Amino acid sequence: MVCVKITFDITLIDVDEQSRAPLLKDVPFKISDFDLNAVEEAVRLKERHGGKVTSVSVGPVERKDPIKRALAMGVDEAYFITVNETLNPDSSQLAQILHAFLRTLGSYDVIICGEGSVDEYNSQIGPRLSELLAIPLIAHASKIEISDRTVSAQRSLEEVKQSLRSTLPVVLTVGSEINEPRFPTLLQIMSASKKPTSVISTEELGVRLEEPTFSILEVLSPDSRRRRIKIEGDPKAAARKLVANLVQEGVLS
Amino acid sequence: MLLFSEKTDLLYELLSLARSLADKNGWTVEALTIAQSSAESNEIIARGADTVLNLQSASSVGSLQPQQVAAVLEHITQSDHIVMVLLAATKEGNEIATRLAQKLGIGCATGCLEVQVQDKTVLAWRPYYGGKFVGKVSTKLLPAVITIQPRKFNPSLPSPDRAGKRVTLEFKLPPPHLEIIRVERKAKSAMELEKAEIIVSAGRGFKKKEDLELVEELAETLGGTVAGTRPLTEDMNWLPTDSQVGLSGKKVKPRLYIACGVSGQIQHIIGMRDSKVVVSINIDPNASIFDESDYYIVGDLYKVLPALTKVLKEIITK
Repeated sequence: MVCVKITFDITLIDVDEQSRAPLLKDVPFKISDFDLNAVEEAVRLKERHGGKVTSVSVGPVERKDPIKRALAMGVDEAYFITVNETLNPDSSQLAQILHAFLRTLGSYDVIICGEGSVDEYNSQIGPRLSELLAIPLIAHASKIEISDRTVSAQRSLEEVKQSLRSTLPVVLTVGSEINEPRFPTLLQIMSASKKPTSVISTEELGVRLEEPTFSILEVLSPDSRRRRIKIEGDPKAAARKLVANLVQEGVLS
Repeated sequence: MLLFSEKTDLLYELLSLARSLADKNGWTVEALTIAQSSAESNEIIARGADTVLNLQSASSVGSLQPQQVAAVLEHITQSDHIVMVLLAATKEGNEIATRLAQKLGIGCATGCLEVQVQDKTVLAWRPYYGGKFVGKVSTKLLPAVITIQPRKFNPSLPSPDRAGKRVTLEFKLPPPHLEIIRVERKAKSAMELEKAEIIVSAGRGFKKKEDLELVEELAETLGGTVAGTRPLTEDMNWLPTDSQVGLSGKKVKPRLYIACGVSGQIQHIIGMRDSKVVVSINIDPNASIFDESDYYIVGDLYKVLPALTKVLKEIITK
């Protein structure tokens, strides 16, 4: 199973110059970057070992469309769990919803998530699912191999590189270094629309959401203090002017 | 409050934040350590902890798995009525904190830049939308579980006459989930990036690995350190992983940061935003790195960088 968050294309978010708030109104939705790596890895595992890839997403129903890209990449079946738009579930509640969904799904061997979402980067779904399901987590995996129901993985932490092994089932989180997500062909895109996408509500899953213990109060763009001085001229002249400025600033030792 | 970090220098950073929060709110500060000497515990007390809980363990701190550390923290949190748990926002720190929050059935604020307490509510600030925005978030003292980005706080300084308790903690660790086959220490860059005074960084504007020579030469002339964006360090492997500046890499604050062929994706900006003076060179007149620069040159880095190195060499020889 692969967890796919659909969120704003953050590269297209502008700032309201008055309030410094993000202008989100017409920003298109897409699959969060690292979740595309998660989809790619899940599809590669299927191509090598067989099985089936199911994707699950949680969010307001109007964000459903971009999931077609995951289906075109090779996901067999997609589930979209809708939440009321007035609710902004925190990571704890998202994990609770995903956990409830997994109970209805039945058996699974590998759960892959992006190591963080491009919008909020809480990086919590992987560890929380590991706790809820009481199964191992290999976070930040950069290479994955499976044989004899054992996962061998590599990962890179701040100061060390590790090679490790885990039994199945397992939760994995991945970032951009693990693979290059494929671009589906036109044929794949067309056939994706025939693949099953089920929409379920949190109520149908039997999840009752209470007031979250973590909430976002406001999001604002910090003022950039930069001076944005353009240095003109051909490379040689520009280099001279720049160095003169840096000398004056006292930043060259 | 309860603090933990697998890295001592980051624990000292947590201590400086924790001490100010504790003094304002009448709390005490406990720090968890794993199989540590009493001299090390005394140093942590001198730097601001009221109590050091040293877990008796055959494993050293580096070999315990996040899931095991989270179990110890849960135990202390419950037995000592902890109101706030602070960890460093490293990959392992975030995993430990999230696991602890899940065990306690509560939210968790990862990667925070600042924390305040107002009327039993915890306010924290953390990046959103790739760091282009900063969000104010709130969480309750149930406890509040928070991870703090490295190098946002200065390490607390030791005062040798500070008094504190050293307690030996006995706790039966759960068995580890993962089998660690091999651990390889990463080759350290010649100089630690976070401490570098001058950084020259490379982005996707370079066509091939060999061309990074231009950056290396400039850095060498300036007595600086080479860094790169995530595509270069992780996807293309042109530079070592520990030279990555950005959201998932290092957060740096040198006195001079020169971005060469860096487009200015927000994931990168978040890692270098605290630099004193930022210079950028990019061929794209609309590159967003220019918005984050004090000085910028619109031009071909293959021509500008050699010119810049040459001018600098001239002044140095003068």
